Amino acid sequence: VNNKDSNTPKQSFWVDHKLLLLLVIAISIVLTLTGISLSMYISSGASQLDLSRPGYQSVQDQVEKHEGIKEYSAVGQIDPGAIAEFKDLYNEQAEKARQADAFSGDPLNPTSLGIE
Amino acid sequence: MKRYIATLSFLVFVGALFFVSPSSAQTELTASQRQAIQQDCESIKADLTQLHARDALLRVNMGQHYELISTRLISRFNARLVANGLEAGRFITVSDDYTVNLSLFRASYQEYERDLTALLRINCRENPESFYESLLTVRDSRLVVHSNVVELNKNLSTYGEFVDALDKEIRGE
Repeated sequence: VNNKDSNTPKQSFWVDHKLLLLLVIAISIVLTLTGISLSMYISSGASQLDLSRPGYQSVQDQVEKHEGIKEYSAVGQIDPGAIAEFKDLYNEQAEKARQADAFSGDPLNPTSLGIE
Repeated sequence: MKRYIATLSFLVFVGALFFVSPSSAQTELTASQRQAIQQDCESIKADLTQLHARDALLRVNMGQHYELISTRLISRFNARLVANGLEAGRFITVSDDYTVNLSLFRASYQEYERDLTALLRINCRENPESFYESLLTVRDSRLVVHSNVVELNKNLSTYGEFVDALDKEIRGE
């Protein structure tokens, strides 16, 4: 009987404050889901490619659209004409990639940073 | 038994010295280097911040470019070869290598970016030693990214050579 008496005020508190309980649960769910999404955003490496972050404004408008890369048809015969069409598309894009020679050079050489 | 353990411990210690010594010697700062880091701390960090942004852009652009070459051209050409019953083994092998190298490129860039971000957080005025050590680590990480790019470009060249060879075969040359 004593136990029942001591529990009664607690039960009545949540019964009387259902809206508050709803808000607490809703906020907890939102915080949990936000935490999960944020950790996925960071751990997947997506954050590293997100150029809308502060510090990347100077390069945001230089992102290439790559709309020029035409899709080669996966169906049809393989004849000299089809190969020539593929070679035209492929060689242009492969050459662009080779010419870019991304991440070449040694900009982190201490000497080039003036650390001598 | 104790003597055996002591000898073994000594050998492990000496062995460890062999591995540790070269890198610690490499990262050792001279007095002039320490001074240069502390004096030009802000300008070095500004250069690194610019490089950070430039490389992020390069990663986005080149990553998309490599991805689209794979999905819009290579995969579709392979599918067409298979559909026509032609021998596609060599093409598929190069495509698989390309896919592996593309994954390595993504992973190595992630590591490089993490290292560079950590480097930018170091206070170079107060900790020139750890800044320099970290700088050398980031430099190595960037070289790894470049080596992945070189491998990707090699795969593209090899695939192109195979297409040329197939072209000649079909033309009966």
